[in-house]
Amino acid sequence: MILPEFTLHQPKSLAETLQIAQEFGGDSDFLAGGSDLLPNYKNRLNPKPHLISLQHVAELRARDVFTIGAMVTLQELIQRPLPDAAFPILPKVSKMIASPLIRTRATVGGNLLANNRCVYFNQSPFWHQAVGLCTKVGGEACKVVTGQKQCYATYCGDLAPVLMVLGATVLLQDRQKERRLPLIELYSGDGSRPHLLQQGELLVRIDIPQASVGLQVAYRKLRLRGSLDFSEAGVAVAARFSGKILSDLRIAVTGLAQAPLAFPEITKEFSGEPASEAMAQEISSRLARFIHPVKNLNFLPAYRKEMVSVFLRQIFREWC
Amino acid sequence: MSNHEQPTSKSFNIIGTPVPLLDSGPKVTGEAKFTDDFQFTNTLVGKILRSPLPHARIKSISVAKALALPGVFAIVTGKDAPVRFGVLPISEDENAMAVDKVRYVGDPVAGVAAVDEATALRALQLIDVEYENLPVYLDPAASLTPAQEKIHEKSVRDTNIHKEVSQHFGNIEKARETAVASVSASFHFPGVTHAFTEPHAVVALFSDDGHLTVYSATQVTHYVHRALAKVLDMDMHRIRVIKPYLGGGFGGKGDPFAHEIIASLLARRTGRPVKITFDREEVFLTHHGRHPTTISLTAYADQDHHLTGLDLQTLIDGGAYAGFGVVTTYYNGVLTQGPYRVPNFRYQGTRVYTNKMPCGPMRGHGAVNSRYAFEVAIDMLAERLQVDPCVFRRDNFLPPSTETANQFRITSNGIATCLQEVMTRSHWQECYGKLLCGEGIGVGCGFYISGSALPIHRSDIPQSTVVVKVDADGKVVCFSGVTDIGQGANTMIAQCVAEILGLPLHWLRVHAGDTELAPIDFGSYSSRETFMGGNAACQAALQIREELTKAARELAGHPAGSFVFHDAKVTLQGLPAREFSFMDVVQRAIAHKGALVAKGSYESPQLGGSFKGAGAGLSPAYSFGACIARVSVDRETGFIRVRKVWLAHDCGKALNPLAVEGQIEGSVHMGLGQLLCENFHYQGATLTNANLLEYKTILPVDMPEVEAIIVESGDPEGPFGAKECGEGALHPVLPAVGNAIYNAIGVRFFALPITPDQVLSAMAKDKRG
Repeated sequence: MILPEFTLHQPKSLAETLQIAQEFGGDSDFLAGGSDLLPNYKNRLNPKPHLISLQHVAELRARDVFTIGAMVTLQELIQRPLPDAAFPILPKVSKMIASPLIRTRATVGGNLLANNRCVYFNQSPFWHQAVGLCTKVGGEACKVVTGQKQCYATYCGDLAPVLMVLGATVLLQDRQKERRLPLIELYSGDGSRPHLLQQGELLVRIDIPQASVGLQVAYRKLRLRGSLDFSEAGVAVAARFSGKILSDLRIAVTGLAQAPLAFPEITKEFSGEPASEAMAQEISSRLARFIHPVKNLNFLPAYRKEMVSVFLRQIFREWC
Repeated sequence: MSNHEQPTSKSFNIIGTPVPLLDSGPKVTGEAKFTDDFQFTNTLVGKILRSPLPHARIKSISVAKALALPGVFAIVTGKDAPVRFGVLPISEDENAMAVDKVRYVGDPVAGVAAVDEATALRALQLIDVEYENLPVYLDPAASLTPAQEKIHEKSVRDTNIHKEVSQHFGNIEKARETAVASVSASFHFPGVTHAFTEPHAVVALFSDDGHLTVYSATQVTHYVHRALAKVLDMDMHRIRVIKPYLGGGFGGKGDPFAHEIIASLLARRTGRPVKITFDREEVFLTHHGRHPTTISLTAYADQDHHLTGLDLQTLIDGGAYAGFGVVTTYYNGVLTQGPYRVPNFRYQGTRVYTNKMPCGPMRGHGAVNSRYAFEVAIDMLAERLQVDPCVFRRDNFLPPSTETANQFRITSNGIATCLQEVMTRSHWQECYGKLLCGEGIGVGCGFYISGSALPIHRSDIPQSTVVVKVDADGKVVCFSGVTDIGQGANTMIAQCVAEILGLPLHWLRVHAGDTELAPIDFGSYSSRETFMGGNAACQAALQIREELTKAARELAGHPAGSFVFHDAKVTLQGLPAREFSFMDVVQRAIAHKGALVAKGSYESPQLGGSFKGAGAGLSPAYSFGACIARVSVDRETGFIRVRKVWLAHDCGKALNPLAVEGQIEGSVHMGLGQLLCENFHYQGATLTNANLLEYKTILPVDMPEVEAIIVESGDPEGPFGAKECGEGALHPVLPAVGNAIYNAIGVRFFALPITPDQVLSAMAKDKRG
């Protein structure tokens, strides 16, 4: 497939970028690494007439221990670990995303804002002609949960749950203002329009609080093959340990719903107790009420859900 | 000279030496030109309009709006080429584009030639096709019963059955009566596809005098040549088919295809070169891969632990067209006739049409699914008899130089060595039955043809002909119709000739895969190139050597002298030793005569019985193999890790051990893909994973360690003793791993692929049961 026609803008500064974005608004997309966006463009999945490339915007490449610019590539997270290696989970999880070649293009910002996926969405124009359109491409109803008007396409990014348990915030900016949000608030929960960025607004960077240093962090990902595949369930866990006693527990999951999910109300109840497999079991059964994958990826929903418990158990087993 | 006069020397110069394939350099540097790389002035881009419906009558096609689009040069539809074609003359049921109705989602309906791809794609959208929906047949079982609307006129009775095969050798009832153990099981295999790297591509151009040249990514130039002549109604001598460098075939480029005809029609209409290159979705829709198959079998053993009978039924889902399907239907049965003695054998095979992508040959054609089923059943029988599965297999092997129940002639046979090798190297005896829960070891064996003895067109043309020319520059040029699809056929031809003439490889050039330059060869399928092309090349080279020997005798003044050809030298045997350079001998040989030109050819001997279907599976030689695999199964997640695979393959003689090892490793890769990952998912009649992200082949990171073991049984009729290695090595891989999984967790899998979610649910069911 070839790309549709579009006008490519290549601003040289953040100010210029935001100006162009304001000018074209809903008729434009930001282009970071392109590894997620361009395949969708080739499939004519909601392409826009203007693409604003972020390749030459130096302000988006900031990088220090607590700050990651949106245009830092996944490969850079792996190859240029920071000297104090405060968050060794970041290169570790990056290595679990896509493939080595794609990681040289794919960016942290792009991964956080990766479009949601669904077997009825990620298809060619020919396929949609044969099978029909789903809500995410202008159709009347969802084809996974039949009859539903809302879209169930799944968020599959891997960095989001990990950065969420690290307490990350995102800095968003448009021509008029900047604002800072906890990462979780970036996601709408609507499969069709999964992110809450406003028109002309750009994700500039991600900040991790200093308080997160010293957290024990683990991430497990469900995919059929050892590379390339998107998450069909991903579990990130962070906690602090004093001996066997666990505190400040955080859990976030991906690949299971229209947005990454966190469970602060549940996890806070487990502070001050010794970590154990039984605890993992207890947490799993509490989480189960909130995890309802639908049949829109490869593995069956029941299996994807079951793996959340298995991953939690495995992580806790390693920790205790 | 008879066909089977073989050079018998045991000490070789180039044969048996690992040499990089001749095309490695050009492929690595990018110098190699694949079909899509050919650029001709004024080339138009061709695109194909495909049916979005699985089964529908075409009421009308209106192309006026599309033709009016600036930049559109021509549009062709089914009525421009109504003549049917198909790879097998006995079942030609394809049209270049749908004439009256469409039969699967993806069926070609029209072809557009335009100035560029964007214009061609826009033109496709402007073609109006009015369809009338017809009843859709997706379930192969439904195709067995009388059809309201037959998919093809010529199917069996009033059903959508394409082909029925019924065979019975020995007496299966007797096997049943005398059995002390029997196993019955049913298996289901979904379709899988080749997933080769290079998509199908074609460039067609007419010269001013009406001569057609077609560059195509094909495995068989000769069959494309025939189909073009037939459908375009042209004399064969006005057509030339060229196969450039090719990025993998595995059977998927073995048929003549619609796009080759469409590009030629568009080139004829416009007078300009037309190029069609598929996108990956079109590759998936064109398919011609492994058939979805349901297999039921009963296997019997007697009190002496002899395998006494196999009763086998298959239901093969052919998709929308016949293709090679008649062969597939036979192969599912007859290729279970080795490597074991099966004295009583009954087979009922049925291939049906459905409104899905057409299926066809894929590496190990027709025998991979039934091999898995049979080898799992053998494991179950061994367990029932309480005998080690390796020992049970060994006790039932066919010997060399024998005949099977269905009259296959077995000559060389290294199966016993293959099994012994993998048992020793894997420490089978120390492992089997002694591993921890979740750890498993399993075995499987295999058997395959080394070239089909019968050609698919009734003709007296030899199966392969090779011409060798040597001129004053000393360069040895081989002209051959063998199709190098990446497996190294050209290198094989060069090695055979270089060995006989005692030359380093750089003296050789091979011109192959061009119907104008090279004599006919039936191409790269059924694992035939080494055996047939190699024999033809040897025969030609021996004639050249004969001429050179005469010249050397003149030079030496020794009219009866015998000479050794080695290192570009020709040395008189005995005393006094005289040595000439190859060049000096060539100069003498061509003096007053001109270039030496010799022709060698290969025809299979007469083989087999005289019953109906006796020709299916006949081969001048058979390959054998054995595989042992070690696996770990994660009982929490269901993930299977294949830790190591030992795969021994009897290829007769490894002409190029590097290439044989590559084929063995590739076989492990492809086998694991079908066993563990690959699957087609449909939404109704439409394939939903027509891309290489969602169609899951094994990735490099998931490959286990592979120990490739070459077993050389020295075939009496193969070139230097060689047989095939490209397909047969695949067969034992799937059952070896499947049996290892059983060994690890105690659960048998009767449906593929064995994915982690299937493992978990099967284990849960097993616990409950």
